[in-house]
Amino acid sequence: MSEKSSYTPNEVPEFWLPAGGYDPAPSLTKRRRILIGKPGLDGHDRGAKYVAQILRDAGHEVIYTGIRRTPEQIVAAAVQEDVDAIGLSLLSGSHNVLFARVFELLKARQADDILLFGGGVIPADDVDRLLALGVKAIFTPGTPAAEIISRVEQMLGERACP
Amino acid sequence: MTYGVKELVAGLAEADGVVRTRAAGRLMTALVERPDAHRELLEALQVAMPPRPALVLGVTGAPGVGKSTLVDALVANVLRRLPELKIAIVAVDPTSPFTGGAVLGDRVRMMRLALEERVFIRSLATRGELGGVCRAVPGVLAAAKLWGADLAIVETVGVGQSEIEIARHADRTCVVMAPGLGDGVQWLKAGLMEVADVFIVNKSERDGADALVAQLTSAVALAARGLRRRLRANTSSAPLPKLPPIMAVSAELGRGIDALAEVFGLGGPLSLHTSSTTENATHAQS
Repeated sequence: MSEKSSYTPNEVPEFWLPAGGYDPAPSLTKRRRILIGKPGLDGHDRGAKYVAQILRDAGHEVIYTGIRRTPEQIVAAAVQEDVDAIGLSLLSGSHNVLFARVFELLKARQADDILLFGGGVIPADDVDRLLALGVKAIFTPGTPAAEIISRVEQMLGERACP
Repeated sequence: MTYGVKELVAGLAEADGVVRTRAAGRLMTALVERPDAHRELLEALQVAMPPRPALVLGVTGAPGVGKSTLVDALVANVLRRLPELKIAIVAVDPTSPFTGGAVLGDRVRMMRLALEERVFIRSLATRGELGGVCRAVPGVLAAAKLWGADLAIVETVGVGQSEIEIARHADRTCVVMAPGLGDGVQWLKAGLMEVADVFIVNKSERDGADALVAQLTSAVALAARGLRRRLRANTSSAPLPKLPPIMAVSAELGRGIDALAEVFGLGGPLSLHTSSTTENATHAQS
């Protein structure tokens, strides 16, 4: 993932800054809050953890919910954490049902402005179907980290921030 | 929904739980991201001091001693005892000093609370603060109070020996420990050991827990002797401060959590102990 990391030697923080601390993020408009979750019953969380880590290294705050969550738990967490986007990782085959359910719950909680993206083992036909449903992006196995970061940041750039 | 403080405060006054929860989350973001949002909040509420839950507990300790698991067990216990109480959990994890990013993972241990209507969990990143918490904590506590929280639990990042900022935010600070992390000399050291109102020895089912409790007891008694001598030298009539209790618990197995909940009720403004026993008494009579 080193090819598209926001870290460059010039941005090394001033560790010896006096009281008051420092804010290492380049700007508030850049850093976003993203929830990474795994709904459903498969426990293969390596992909979810990897995406959490690369988004962290790109300077974002990533809330990780762990494996085997229900859509209800994920949406409740997303509202309390007021995230900009939810990324769901699924390798169980139940993506059509679970994405639709997350959408439904976001609407019910007046939070359908939160962007949704996903990844995992998802057939091409279903990818089209999910995009038509309103999912912003689906990253299938082999997607380079740089592409995930740039596409997530691109979709987040269009969303209002405080 | 906007990020305007006035609109969010209005949303928090509404009866609809969906609107209130959404507004609380958004207000927290506004307070975290925009320093001027604090002034706007005071103006919108027409108060001089920000609101605050009636009792704020601080939970701190080294990484991996079980702080999040303990908070989860304690909150689940208190929810059962007090059916009216609403609880906010503020969990802080570290920001990278290199990229500004963070992975906030305390929720992983608290997912059974995710669907509790009476619990609001918010994860925060330190964003460069080195004291174990972050500057946004008072603002987030204010928003939690507006949401309806009577009790708030602030969990710090995993800390070492000198991160004591939590003691400025919390009414009562708990230092959580686990067996196997050091001998009695560690507990003589200044800093973190001095801000504890309660010591919690977690993972008490493991080897070494009894020894840790014994070492802590001895360290607390030793510190108290010094304190008494100093107080007597100044004013002979000064009341002696209460010694911090040492509670052995196992958050994972749910052992000792009842006793822990009662410790916080005995002197806290919420009086958890009294209300739960009153309740039991009422049930017994009817």
